[in-house]
Amino acid sequence: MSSAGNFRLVEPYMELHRRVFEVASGLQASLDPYDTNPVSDGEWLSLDSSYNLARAADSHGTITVQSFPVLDLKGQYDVQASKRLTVAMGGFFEADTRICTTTSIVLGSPLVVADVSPDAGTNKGLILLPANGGGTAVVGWIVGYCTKAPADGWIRFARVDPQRVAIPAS
Amino acid sequence: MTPASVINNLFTQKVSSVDGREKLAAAGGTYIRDRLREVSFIDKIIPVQNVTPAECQVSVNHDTFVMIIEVEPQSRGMVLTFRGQPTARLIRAPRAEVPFFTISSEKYEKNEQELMAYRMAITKIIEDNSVKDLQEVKDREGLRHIESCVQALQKEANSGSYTALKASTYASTVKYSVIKGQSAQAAATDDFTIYPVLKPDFVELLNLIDSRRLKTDRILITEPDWNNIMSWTLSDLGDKMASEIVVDGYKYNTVLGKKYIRTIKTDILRRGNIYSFTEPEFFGVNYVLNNVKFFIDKKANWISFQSWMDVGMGFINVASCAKLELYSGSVTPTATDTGYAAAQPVAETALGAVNNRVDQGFKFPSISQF
Repeated sequence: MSSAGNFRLVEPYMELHRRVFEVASGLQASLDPYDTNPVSDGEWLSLDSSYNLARAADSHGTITVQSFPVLDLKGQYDVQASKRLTVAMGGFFEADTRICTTTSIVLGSPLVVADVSPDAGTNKGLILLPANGGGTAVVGWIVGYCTKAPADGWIRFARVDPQRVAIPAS
Repeated sequence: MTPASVINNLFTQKVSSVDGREKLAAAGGTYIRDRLREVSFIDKIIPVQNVTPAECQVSVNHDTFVMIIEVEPQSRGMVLTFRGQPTARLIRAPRAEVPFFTISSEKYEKNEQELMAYRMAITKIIEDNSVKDLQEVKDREGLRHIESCVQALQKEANSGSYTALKASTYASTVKYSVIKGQSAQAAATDDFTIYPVLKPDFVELLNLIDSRRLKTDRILITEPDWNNIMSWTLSDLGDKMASEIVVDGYKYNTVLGKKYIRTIKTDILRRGNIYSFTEPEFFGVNYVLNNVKFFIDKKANWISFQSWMDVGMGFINVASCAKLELYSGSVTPTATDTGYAAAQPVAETALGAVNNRVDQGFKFPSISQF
């Protein structure tokens, strides 16, 4: 049985600024679709100090570094062979995604990247910008805004240039 | 106008034509070359086969290809009494998938005004070089997989754990797919000083594969390491060969009865690493799904072009390759010694590093235009 994917572009694919990066060694096992926590299309990955893609740490409710959505489908053979992923690195686009937590998201909600669990395992996906850092002030990055209210676990969002935002401690 | 300038102008005009973009023939032009470019050495280890999408398998979950390769089934004989019967075996043969991926050049861009400033046929040069550039990337990917093959069996032989293979602990490490040269074994420190390859080193390398009901057929070696063979002593070479080498170099197609593949790509196959392989049918496959394609586009006064190819390689029988290291340090994954990067292929982004230092101002005599 096939899977429909977790990320659907509304914007023309050819207009995206796409870049291919090698995956960090610690994440390469997750390129296997049968891994307990596989990398998914629509998951947001960040560049590490070696210029490789990795899952950034979720710090007090959001990741604090820039991230980019993965465009490759889970289990693609070229990805598994090359240990590389394609991400949308820049430019405006609109897309539907289920790599998110839809809690409290409404039309116009600002979105940041944090740990989400649409399936078994934990991916880096979109959540509503937190009101506070749970006792610790953090810097987050708004990556988009909800353009269509959530339905069936999916949201539609417009990707914007990342906007730095200070999230208060409480 | 020189022919090269004509080419650049024609290139610009051709690219603007309604009939589309056609490749132009080179017509000369004087320029200084930076480095030699070489065809793929992976293609010499395993010859390339063209395949079509119809021969491949696709996934129900995405739109990428694999080729399913069947591997020889196990079988054996047995002794029976006259009244006995043989044990049964329900026939089964393993299969392996060979995935395909794309290798591409950079996307080259230039505006037509600046293109006119070049007297050499710069676009033709890049177009010609990009084919070899793609092959360099293919070699780098292939070599990384070959290294994974030898390290996988090393790990298996060392009780399932990556065990450093270095001079200081050489005796206690099982050497199944990787060995070190005699000089490296005797080194006082575990580092990446490269020692010349000796004749006994080659013999030990051949023995790795020949001990497995397989037969070494070819060796992959860098030019600098190869050149050290010409330093072998009279007792290694014999009187006739020694005198020949002084005049003509080593001019035979085999060494110790094995074919060899020499490469100048010392940024991919680093000095000090020598690999041996069986014949291709015992090792793996090397496919091309789409041969090199070249695309050119023009928007207003901007020209862009790139080339790419779709390939698949699978090293199915990991026992069909072995490695000789001419340095004392360890490159075993997770058990490396300091400086191990010197023995590994450079990063993909570092391929194509230039030799000339013109941009840094190193050219002689050096003058300032006034």
